[in-house]
Amino acid sequence: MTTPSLNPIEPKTPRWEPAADPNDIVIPGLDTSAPPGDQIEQIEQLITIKLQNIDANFSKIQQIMANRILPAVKRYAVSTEPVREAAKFWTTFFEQAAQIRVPTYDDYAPAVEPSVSAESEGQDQTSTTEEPDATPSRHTFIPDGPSSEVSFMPGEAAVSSTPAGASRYGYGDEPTPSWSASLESPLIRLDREIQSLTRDDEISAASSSMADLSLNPDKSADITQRAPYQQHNILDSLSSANKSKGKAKDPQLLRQNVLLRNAVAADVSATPRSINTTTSPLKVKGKTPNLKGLNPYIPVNSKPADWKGVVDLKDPAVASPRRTHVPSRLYQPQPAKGSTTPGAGEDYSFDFGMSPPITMDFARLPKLGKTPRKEAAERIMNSILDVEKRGVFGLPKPGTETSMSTVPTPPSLSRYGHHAAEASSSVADSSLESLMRRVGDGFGGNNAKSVGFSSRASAPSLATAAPASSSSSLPQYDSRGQLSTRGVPIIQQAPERTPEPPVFSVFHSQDPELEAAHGSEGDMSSDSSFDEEANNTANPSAAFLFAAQGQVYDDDDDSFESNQSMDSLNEEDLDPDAPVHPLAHVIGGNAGDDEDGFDDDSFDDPVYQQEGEEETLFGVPPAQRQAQAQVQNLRMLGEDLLQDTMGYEARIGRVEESPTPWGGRGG
Amino acid sequence: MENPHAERQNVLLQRIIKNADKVTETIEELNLCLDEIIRANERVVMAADLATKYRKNVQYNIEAMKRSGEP
Repeated sequence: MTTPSLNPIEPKTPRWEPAADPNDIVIPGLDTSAPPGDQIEQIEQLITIKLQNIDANFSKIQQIMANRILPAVKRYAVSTEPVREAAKFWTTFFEQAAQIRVPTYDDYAPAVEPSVSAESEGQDQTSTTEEPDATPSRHTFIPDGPSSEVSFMPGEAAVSSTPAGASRYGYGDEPTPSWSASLESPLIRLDREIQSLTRDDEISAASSSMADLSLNPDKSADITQRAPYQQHNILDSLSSANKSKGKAKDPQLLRQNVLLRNAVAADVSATPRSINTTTSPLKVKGKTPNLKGLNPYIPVNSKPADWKGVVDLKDPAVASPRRTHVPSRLYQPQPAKGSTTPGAGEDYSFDFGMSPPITMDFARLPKLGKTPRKEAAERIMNSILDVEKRGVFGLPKPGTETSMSTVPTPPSLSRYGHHAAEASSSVADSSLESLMRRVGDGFGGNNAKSVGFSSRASAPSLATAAPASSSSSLPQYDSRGQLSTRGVPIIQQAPERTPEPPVFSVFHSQDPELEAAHGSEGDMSSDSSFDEEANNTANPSAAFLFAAQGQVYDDDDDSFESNQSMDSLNEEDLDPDAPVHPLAHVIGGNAGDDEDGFDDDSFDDPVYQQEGEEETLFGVPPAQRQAQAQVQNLRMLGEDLLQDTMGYEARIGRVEESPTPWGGRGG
Repeated sequence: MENPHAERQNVLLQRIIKNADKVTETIEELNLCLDEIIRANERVVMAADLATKYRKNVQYNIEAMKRSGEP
């Protein structure tokens, strides 16, 4: 950048001293030979000329000052504003990093005992050399003596200390005063709190150094910078004290530790360790609370270790696992219950588990999403066994609307069917009945039937090798189709069961395989295909999904999802497309983009409404439906499985004894 | 006799005085502006010092670690 050429500054002429002796006065330009009068005239004229010059100089000075210098300075001040903003940012950055406070002339923070970092001494040499100007505000890391010397050097003092300037507040540093105020009070508070706790020796050591620093009251800056150190020490002492107390921490201490950890993490990342020797991030570890004891799901006065992992979500007290953030961790360390599951499942299960789980088994569905499949499958199996024992399977209510009607249920209605299917998975007498009732209230017991069947079907499938998959599918049920379901094959099953699959295009559309497999009614081939898939998965979920689908296959996404999910859990065996379909189905379900079923729904809506609880008008007679469902489901899912579990055979045999002759598929 | 000179000189002096006053005022304004700039640049200086100290600390620590034989 080219600066304008400046006239060389003339060297200062020595100050004129009046001659001590008048006789020695020499006046240049004076004609000494002239008579005195003339010389006086000359002198007068010389005086006048000199005065003129002086006047000229002054006016020149004033003009230059007013026209060039002052505006330039003001322009400079305005143009360097961004620099100041940046500097402001960086100062706050460093201050936060080191947890110190660098006061400026605008703040007059009271001196707080600083904590001198041990390693900062090594910086003394550098710091002393560093601070020529040594403005007190810049004594961030300077420890005691040398820094004080530097800062208080007389030469520097003149430059650095501007008492007059100190009185000039409000020059661009408005935020700092409030900030300092906010910082100091908690620091002072913490300091008092630490009185009872361990006190760092550094503080006491720093206090001695403080004396040096506090020499010049005008330089209040130096001291406040220690405050953040102290704060750090205070926090550290607090954390250390907390640790010494053991795991029995108060929530406040825990919070403080968390905050401290956050602060320390920020500090560590930003500042070199040498600066913050007071804080040791390594010491501050995430203290995981006693998760077992914090399990919100465990019944009161029961040992956390004895928790079986079965949670009755019906209990409002346990409904929401997210009462605190702790539960999010609870499930992870849960030992036996297979806490580790994809977190997505957790979200699904808990957020949507609200859809009322009918039975305890049902309530387990969300948990299944988070637990290892095998364990969850085992639980499901147990629940199903319990249901089996209760003889639910053999007692489908005649009045219940379990219609196997193939009429596709509108998406809105399919929800209920979904619930029914879900409920059935839980496999409980009350649950089934309630589900049936519920389904009937909804749009007509499509689901109830499916539920019943599904429950039965699930029984044989219990023996399947992959119970986990079914369990995994269960949580998806809960979500009402919001969960991604991979059990596309289930959809396939559904159409099969219904004797008249009018529009199972929904299923078809979802899965190309399904489409190919479906014909329109009871595709035997599809059954086989389903069987393969269902059997492969061999999950109770598959079984009852199957049943549910058989009745509710037309249900839009929900049924698909639930069914699919069940099968999908069975999982990896399922078609890769399966997971996609249910979601797409669900998401776009209502849009009816994916499936023709929507068309049917539109048609069927009034029909369904009319049908109300009974689809017998359009569907297979209840008995036939049940029989078909049972037979179909059982045949498809259970036959292979029955062999695995002798116990179920008996029951299943009961169920299978349906008067209605079926197409002889499977079996 | 001296009046013409004195008169002339007085006039000049008056002008000088006026100019001097003006200069003084200008200089005072300049001082204020510079003071403000210095106050504003205080943070710049602080940031620069902090950065320098940070670098020095880091350098020192690195050297210390090297001396201690960091694995």
